Amino acid sequence: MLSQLMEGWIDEHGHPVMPVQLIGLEDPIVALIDTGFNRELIVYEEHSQQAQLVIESESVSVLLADGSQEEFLRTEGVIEWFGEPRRVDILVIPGQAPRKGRWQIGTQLLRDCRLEIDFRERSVKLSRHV
Amino acid sequence: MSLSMVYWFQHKGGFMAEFKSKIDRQALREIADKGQAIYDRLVKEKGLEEKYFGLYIVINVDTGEYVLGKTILEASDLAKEKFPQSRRFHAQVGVPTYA
Repeated sequence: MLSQLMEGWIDEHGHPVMPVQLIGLEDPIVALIDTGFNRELIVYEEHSQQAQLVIESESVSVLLADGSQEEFLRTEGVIEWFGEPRRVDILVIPGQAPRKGRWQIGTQLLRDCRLEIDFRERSVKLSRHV
Repeated sequence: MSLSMVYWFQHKGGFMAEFKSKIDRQALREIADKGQAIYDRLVKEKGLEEKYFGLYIVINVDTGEYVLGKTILEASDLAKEKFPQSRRFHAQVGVPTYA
């Protein structure tokens, strides 16, 4: 059995983060690993436009941490995941990405992975066996 | 207008261009409202949550047709095949989407 590894870090706000390369964008974008988010990936509309993701009339109702509900546009894209292309479910936040805005990686994207967060060492490791 | 101002508008102004959102939030809300109403009816009339808890559902909000899949992408693929070019509402049966 082969073990694959992706690495991230603990950012300046104390959040576990990891770079994600969305196919269609030049550079990876830093994403927050959010175990409170139960789909795959959230990106900003600005990046979805740049990556030329196909937008159709698809909506998902999302419960936010403050108890409010918001509707997100839903689409799909391809990311580089453990060195291979992987088609993923994407929710799109309307508008431009804030300067320090993070994408969000959710638990559905992590479902076949082991996540290790070491806050003392400020390290994040995501592994899976194939 | 001076040459330096022309340069500024052509070269710097481009970076300052305002981002234009193409997402129609009102339309998204309408899809979600219609989709949720159909979902609630399926729960009440067909016992959706008892029978299919945890599966992913995609609803065509204009016809009421729906598909179920074990994963988000499986449900999405089935929906595109069964009702392409439609307005679709996505959910997980019995599990709210949290973020």
